[in-house]
Amino acid sequence: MSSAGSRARILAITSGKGGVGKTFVAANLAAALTKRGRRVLVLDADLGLANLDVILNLYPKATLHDVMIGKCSIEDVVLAAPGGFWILPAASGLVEYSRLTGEVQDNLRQIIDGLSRQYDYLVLDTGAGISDLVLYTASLAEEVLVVATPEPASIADAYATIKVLALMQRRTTLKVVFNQARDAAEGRRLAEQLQQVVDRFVNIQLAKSLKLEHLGYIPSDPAVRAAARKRRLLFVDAPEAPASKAMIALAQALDSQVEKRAVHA
Amino acid sequence: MHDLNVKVSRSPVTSEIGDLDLRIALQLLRQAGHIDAPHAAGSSAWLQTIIDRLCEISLRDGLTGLANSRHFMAALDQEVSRVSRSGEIALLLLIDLDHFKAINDQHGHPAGDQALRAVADILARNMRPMDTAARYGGDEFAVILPNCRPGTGRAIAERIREQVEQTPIELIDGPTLSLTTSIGGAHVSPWSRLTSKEVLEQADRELYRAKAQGRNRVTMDAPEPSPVSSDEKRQLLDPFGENTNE
Repeated sequence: MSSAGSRARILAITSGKGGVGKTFVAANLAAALTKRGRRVLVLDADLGLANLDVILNLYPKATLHDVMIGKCSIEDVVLAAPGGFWILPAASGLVEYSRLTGEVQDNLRQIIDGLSRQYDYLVLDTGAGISDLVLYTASLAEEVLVVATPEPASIADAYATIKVLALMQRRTTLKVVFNQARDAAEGRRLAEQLQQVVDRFVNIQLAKSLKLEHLGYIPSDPAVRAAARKRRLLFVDAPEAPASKAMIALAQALDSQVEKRAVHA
Repeated sequence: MHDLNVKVSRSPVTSEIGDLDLRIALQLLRQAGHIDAPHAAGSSAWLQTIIDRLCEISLRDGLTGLANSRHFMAALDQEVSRVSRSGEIALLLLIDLDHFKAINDQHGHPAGDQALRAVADILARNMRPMDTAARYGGDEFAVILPNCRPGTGRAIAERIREQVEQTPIELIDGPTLSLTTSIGGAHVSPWSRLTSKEVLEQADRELYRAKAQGRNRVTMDAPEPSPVSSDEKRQLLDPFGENTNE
């Protein structure tokens, strides 16, 4: 898809609170996009709490931190992940990234800008919540995907994140994916539910309304836990599992938006 | 068990990785009450034990046994970033011993130390296993309470304040002293988006307020209200309730 001079689509994946499967979605969606022939890089933007290499069972020798401090070049740090995509791992346990300094901002922006010339998709796996770092990372992406589960606490937190992104970044579309949903209908219903509350409480404050786009759902699937226990990527471990097929559907939905755009252009 | 005392006199220690001068390290460990090691001197397991114990000492306040300020700052940074992931509110308390300077001036530094240890003991007794109590400065203590609902935090702070007030200390060869503390609290909530430095400044402002209002009291900020109002929450979650009633 990508030819010289073209830019990657930059997709930030975020959630309300942690533990809803944000990194799980980032990694498996990247694998599903790769299967569709895309060049995909996942950047672990949860800078102080690297989860991506744990999920993928990788042991990076160098991390984004080394690029930030000028010890390594990006090429030294990018790793091939199972599933055929690439990752830029973050350093775990580094407290210095709990504060977003101007220097960290500039570094991140430059790194993402450089990478965007080499891939079709850049997936930014942000931290959970609405810290400055999370909001800044999301601001670097043209598209943001919010992951939630059908649990009330997760829905309320996802809504808080959506509200903050709409009010602070004037987003007019946000993608929503429900993980561990019963079926497509439940995902749709929850997304509509969110949209109604957004319309009533958020959109009245905005000149341009925010539209939530229900990209799809991921069913509860025992294969997810089985793969995690083996420390294997679901998409590689059980490509035929319902949750893997859901990832393919998500990738297809994402890709079809590009095609639509191309038609518009 | 192998006696650490014996090894101190030897210099240097011949270890598996070569000759090492461990005199100061071993002396520090002895002072901290570590008099033996479970491995043969010079073995790598023995060295590991010594390093582990030195690390432990480097995180503790020597007088009170609580976490020291270095440990406290790391724990606070960690908790502030954890809050944004867990979504649970945490509370930072800064606890200051009232009129500490007067105790030192009138009764001497050993009396001051005794007072600090008494407060530290009360703090330690009121902590849950996941809490961190630290001696943060000369006469200032800090407590980090993860996953702490606003009401619970105030109750814990009041308990600490009352217990200090109700626990007079008997000075060795001296009078009995009544102590009081002033306590300032700052909440860390996932949507307040404060850095640990800002949380610390906020708690410090509250502590100042407690002092200004006459000491021996607790003041704390109200947790930042959630960006999601109760109206919004009801709208979001009530339809699910309707579904289960169908």
